[in-house]
Amino acid sequence: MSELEIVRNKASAFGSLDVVKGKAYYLKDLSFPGMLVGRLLYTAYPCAKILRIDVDIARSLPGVVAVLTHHDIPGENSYFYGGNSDQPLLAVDRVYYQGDALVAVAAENDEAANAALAAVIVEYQPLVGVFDPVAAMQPGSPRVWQHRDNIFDHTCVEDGNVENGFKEADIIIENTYHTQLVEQAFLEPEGALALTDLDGTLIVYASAQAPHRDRMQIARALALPESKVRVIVPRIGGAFGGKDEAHVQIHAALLAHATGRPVRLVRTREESILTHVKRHPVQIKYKTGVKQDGRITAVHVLAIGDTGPYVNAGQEVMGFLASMAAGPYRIANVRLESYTVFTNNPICGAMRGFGVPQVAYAYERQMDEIAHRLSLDPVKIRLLNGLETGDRLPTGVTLKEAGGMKAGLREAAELADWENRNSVERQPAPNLRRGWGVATSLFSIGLGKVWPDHAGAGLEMTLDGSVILRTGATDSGQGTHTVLAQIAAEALGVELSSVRVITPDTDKTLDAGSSVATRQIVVSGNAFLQAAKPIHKSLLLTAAEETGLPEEKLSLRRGFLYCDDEPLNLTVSDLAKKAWFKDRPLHGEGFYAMEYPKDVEHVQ
Amino acid sequence: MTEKTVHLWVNDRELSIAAEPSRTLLEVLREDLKCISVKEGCGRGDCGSCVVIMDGKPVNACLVLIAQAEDAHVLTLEGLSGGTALHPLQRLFVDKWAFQCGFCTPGMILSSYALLMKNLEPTEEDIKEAIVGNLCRCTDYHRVIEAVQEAARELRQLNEPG
Repeated sequence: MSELEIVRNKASAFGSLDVVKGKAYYLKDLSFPGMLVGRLLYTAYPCAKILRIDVDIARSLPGVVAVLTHHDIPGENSYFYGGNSDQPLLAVDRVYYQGDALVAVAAENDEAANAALAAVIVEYQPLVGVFDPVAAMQPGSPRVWQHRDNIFDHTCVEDGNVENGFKEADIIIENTYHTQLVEQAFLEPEGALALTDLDGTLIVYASAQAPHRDRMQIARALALPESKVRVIVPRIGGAFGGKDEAHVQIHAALLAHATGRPVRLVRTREESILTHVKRHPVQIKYKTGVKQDGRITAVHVLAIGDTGPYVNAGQEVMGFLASMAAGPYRIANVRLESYTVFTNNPICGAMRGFGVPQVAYAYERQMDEIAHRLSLDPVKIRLLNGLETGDRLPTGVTLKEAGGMKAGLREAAELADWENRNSVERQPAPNLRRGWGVATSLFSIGLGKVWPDHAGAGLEMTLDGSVILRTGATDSGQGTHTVLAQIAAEALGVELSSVRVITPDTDKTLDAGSSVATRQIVVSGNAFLQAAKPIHKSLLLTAAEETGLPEEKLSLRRGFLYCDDEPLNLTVSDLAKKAWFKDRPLHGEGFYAMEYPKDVEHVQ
Repeated sequence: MTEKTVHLWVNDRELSIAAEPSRTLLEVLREDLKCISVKEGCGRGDCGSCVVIMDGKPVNACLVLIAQAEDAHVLTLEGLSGGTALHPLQRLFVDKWAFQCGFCTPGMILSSYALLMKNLEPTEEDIKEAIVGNLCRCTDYHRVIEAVQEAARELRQLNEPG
């Protein structure tokens, strides 16, 4: 095929008509007969010993069907994320932050569930908490964990010789920056609905980014084989990293398992803000050495991230921050350090950008200050130091393409009429001010070498040439399903409207990993290209036999067979039927794994 | 608490509903009438996901007690354009990619609809004012403004005599 027919065109987003008609189903729009209300009791203190949890009264109240504590968890009492199991599902004898849950309740209605929570007796012994990450690093600081140091991780990415680099510099600029904790505030709070199927399979609907990982975690907590758990993801009302890790789907599953009835558990907005991971607040000491002409000779970064009490993705976020801390600049001598520090503050982890927004703020402030100090143009100093194709990043990765750093910057400056900005009226109206600013950033996609990074894909062509696409990749509205359908339509030579998307359901769709790190179009997209191959092969083989034309001259485009650029009198639908009669497969599975350089240590 | 019968119209259907007076319009619309387009994002009037039109005005359904809706005419997204044909706002929200996750969309469309009911020549400021109570976390509000401007243009053309 000479050029792309489908992918290059804009398309309406998958499911968008349902949205504007008000018919799109999100988690809380689902219900089942006999469904119970699930709720969790959260701790009264961020750091305390639990002396006693008494649920007897709560259990005796009318309308209350189940009241669970950590004693009632059949399997492992922990989340399991990135290999870490330090966060309990229901607290045992300590609470470590304000989002820890202690008790799970299922009741006939909201009032009964709330009455049950109010009737639980918890005796706490409040402890001195740790709330300042910098103080937490000092010797003698109170500890968040008895058996773990407050400094969980130290990452150091080094290249060249940073001391020599600073000696070469004419001036040195050093500043300390502070970024704040950021809440995703997706509009749909986290929720899950669990019920037992007729054959004993546990079905869990969840507003989630990673259904297959959720399935594993649910099975682990319930001591069930994973094959007996099915996770289905309805339309998601935003996620931004905050629904990557499991939230209440395990608790809803525990309650459904305990009661034998459907249980829907949705966090209130307040609970949502208290519990899920945030963007790390980071203190960044940034030291830059620079020559009079603006060339940067050395950078030393020391970043301290407050990760809260549980590991989650904290180490990976802070490690990624270090990897990206030199920005999109060519700097020969760098030392990029980050510390991941435990506190009793909210847990921090994945949130749009994974550490980059914090450090980009720091290095771009540095660039502006350097420009100001040396009386250089802020755009020019960025162009002077900007990365080019073939440059090597401090991590050791060589750039096959520089991602348009310089070209993009030049174009942006031109569009903004940067050169003439000082001749433009800065105060066009009494209440208006005009200003100009420039900023760049360095970002990479994929999970890097830290976590497995692959996706499966399933495609099936029916006898009328329409296509069923099965994807385990979730779409929170960013268009993942639309683009995957476009890729499949392109690869099979059918119209986009011929593709129906089966959304993530672990019983129907293959594991595609989490929809995070801007990865799904690359991993799942490539997996669908693979999945299309056997179907495409069946159709073309059949077409060659039917027409007597050589296979390499034939192609499928928008539902029709072509010979070179001439449409023939055969449709994909005709070919599908004929291929089926000739016993050729009309379905395919694809698999794709990201490839990372093997000789490099810190890669993301 | 004792139930009270509330009389109201929802999407042009006349209804008498027995409900505890302390329940909100949001709860009754979602739970009793299965109007799932009415979304709950915060339950305290901050996010606008549950905006419906009550007697011609946009309201946060989570802040209206059902007893306050006595004899009211309520419109949800299900009832826009009789629930069958697409209103220009609905079509243009799709065409202009005025949403991603779509959770804010029902409220956003209804706030815009309330504006267009009384003003078919809204300025950008008018539109911003109309959707000031509707939070969106995925897209940018510019696309919403474009969609509303375009819808107003279409509706003006429809209203032109001849």
